[in-house]
Amino acid sequence: MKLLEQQLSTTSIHETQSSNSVRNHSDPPSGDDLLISIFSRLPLKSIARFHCVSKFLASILSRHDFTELFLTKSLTRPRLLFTVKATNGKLLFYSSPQPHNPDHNSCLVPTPYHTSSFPEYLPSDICSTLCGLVLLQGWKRKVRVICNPATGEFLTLPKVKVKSNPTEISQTYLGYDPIGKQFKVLCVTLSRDERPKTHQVLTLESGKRVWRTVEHKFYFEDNFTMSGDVCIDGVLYFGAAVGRSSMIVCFDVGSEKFSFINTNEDMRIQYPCLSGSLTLFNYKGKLGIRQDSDNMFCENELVLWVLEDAGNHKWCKHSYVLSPLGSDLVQYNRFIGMTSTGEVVFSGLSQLHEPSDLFYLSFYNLQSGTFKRVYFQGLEEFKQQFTTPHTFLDYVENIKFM
Amino acid sequence: MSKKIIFESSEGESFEVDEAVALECQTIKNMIEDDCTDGGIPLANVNSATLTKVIDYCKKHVEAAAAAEANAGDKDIYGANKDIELKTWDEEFVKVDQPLLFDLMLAANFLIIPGLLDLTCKTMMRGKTVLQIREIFHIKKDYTDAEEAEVRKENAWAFE
Repeated sequence: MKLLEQQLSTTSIHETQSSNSVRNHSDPPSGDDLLISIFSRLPLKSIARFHCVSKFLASILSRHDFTELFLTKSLTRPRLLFTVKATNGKLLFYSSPQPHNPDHNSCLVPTPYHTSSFPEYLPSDICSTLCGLVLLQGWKRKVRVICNPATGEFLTLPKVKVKSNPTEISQTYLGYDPIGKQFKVLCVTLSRDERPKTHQVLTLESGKRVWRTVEHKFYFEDNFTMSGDVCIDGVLYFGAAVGRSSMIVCFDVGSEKFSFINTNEDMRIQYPCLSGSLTLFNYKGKLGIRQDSDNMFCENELVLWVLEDAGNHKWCKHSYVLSPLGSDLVQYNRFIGMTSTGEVVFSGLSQLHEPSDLFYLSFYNLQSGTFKRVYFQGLEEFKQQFTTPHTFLDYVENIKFM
Repeated sequence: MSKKIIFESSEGESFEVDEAVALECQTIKNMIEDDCTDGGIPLANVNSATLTKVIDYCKKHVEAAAAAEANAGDKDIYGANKDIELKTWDEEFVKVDQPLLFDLMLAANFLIIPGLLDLTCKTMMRGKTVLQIREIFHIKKDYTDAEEAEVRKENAWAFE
């Protein structure tokens, strides 16, 4: 550290300007601060490598202020995350930089995360990501895992204890409270009678992790016409049903309080037998819902609802008329969500690429009404019939775990 | 005529720059706002060679920003090309020897020039081995050989 100390012990602006009253400029950086500033700009792989430089450097790279700064920098360079089920059943994680407003069709090669430390079996029926962490759960086996693909860390959540039937676990959701800087998992339990319900919450922190019950006085059921969950500014949103009407459950991650938002009447699905007709997504920091067309054979417009005022249950409807080509694309591709820069993303498989289909994402620019395709190479070898990789937008690499 | 700001390097050499160029440095921007730049700004920890380069960098980026603004209407046609040109210029700019690169990085950190700090950090650390990092930052290896082997094993993927 000699060089650093030498460079940094030289006179600062404060001392040379003693006659002037200068506003409080931040203190001249200490050697540690400079190292933190430099290393926070590096990719994940370099940071892992430089843990081997010395204990001293490794301790700096593990410090809270460093991991916080790294997360802040990561937020400015959003990535795409893909999960793929390999032919041996193992779940693999890939990532690539997220194209920003691609102006022509292009091709990217995602890089794998080194997750050899992960258990052989990982549930993958329902995945969600938040702030670099991934929550994995399955329909059949009641195993729930939180993992960080970037660091290779994982945590199998303790079993949820439910009172005897008729209570059952519906789903678990991952939330983040940006003020308390805490991740929490909400486990929604459903019961078939109308008594007040208790749900369970687990805080991801070091030490003993236990499920705590949280009560709420509302009654709701699963909603099969709505899918997806979104966490925005410390509030977790997911779909539910009360009787025959759909609503959004809001869970404040910090205070652990529940509230509800009614959906708009026009969001009603005519044929609710087709599940997932309303999909929740993050519309540039607001809650968005994508509504599938009622007409199964022709989808000539893209309908996005945006929550304008949660308190007054006010939604704003945005419709975009699609070209015949766009209409085809929207109909046969999977809706993924919207990037933080406002492009709507769909995923699909292109059959034009022999010998195997090539996975792609379509970026729909709402202003210009154009679709741009980005192909991803290297994911197709794991392709199983009828499955495509799961795609997550705005993934941020986070090197702190919990 | 635009206002001039005078920098003084550690060797006592004076450099006169347009205020717009000096504003690229957050630290100096704060001082200008506080109106305490009369009589020049002594930069006791930035030598003349480094300061010359820093001023070059700020000038180029001010010009590029002005050009981009002038062409704002044609952005769709020229915007992308301009970006590439500036990127190429940046790449050429940091083709300097290691000590000067290190000084540039410290100056960018001290003067708070985020673009230059990013550029110099990435250039300096690109493809560096563990050994080179120890050399550049004068960090002593405090692992025993066994401990180092263990940490390397844990992070083996990062060496592939």
